[in-house]
Amino acid sequence: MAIHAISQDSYTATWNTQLNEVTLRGELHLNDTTEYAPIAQLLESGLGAGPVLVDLRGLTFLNSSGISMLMRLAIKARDSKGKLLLRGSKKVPWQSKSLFNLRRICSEIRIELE
Amino acid sequence: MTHAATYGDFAELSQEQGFEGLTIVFSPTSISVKERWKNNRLSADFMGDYFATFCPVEDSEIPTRRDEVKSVVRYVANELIENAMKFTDVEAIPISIQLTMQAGELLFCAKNGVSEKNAGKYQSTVQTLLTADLWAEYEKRASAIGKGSGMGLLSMLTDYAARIGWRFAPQDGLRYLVTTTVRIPL
Repeated sequence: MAIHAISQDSYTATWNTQLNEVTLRGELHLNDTTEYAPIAQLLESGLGAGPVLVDLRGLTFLNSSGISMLMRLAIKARDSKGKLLLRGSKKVPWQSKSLFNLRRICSEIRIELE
Repeated sequence: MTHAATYGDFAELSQEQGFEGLTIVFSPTSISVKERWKNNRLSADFMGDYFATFCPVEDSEIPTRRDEVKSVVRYVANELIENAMKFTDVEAIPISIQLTMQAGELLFCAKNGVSEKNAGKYQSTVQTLLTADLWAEYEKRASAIGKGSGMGLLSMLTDYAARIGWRFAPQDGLRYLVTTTVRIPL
């Protein structure tokens, strides 16, 4: 099993390659697409490896540049016909507000809020 | 441009009723945007924590009303501060963000200075946001690389049912004061 991880003060991003799960935790408020690139790469690698679960339950804050990153992932899933499951939490208010709109880009995305 | 230009659903702030709320002011010259980035979030977090205290605590729903207000204030305040920090290119005009609660709405008011050149670009972006198909624009801008995608403003419209307005007021010389107002229903 391989785990690829990015860890900073306010967040962690990990990709468990055996389960093909990418987990984002903490708070993400990076400046722009350049700063988000390593995390975007992790997500896109997961999507490229087969059906991927993105676990956002522990991601309590995401700024608009981060939402753009998820949007780009949704576009890639649509264009490559990849299978993408986003798992969030009802306890994290931004997720109820923003995640479901990704389906306007890719209607095949599965979204589960626990 | 010699007169102030207003776009969108701009909120005129009533001075007669007196102001009760929170205002945070930044001086663009003191430290760099990169160094200040963490402070943007701290300021937005403080606004969220402060306004959440006005919500009832007996709410048994999860997330609570208090959690929701805190979350929306943090998001919108952070985006407005980030935008102001990114696009200010006139050091003499302070950046400010103000938040008040009135008539069942959160009312944010952000101010920053821009040069004449950037004012033109900014107005062009605003006019696009006001006339374009929101979802087509959302996808287009999400795919753009770099900063200044306008996604913060777009996501307020699509995810938070925001009413947004802008005023570009000429100052002395070739500078403009940009005032952005955002109303979010509670």
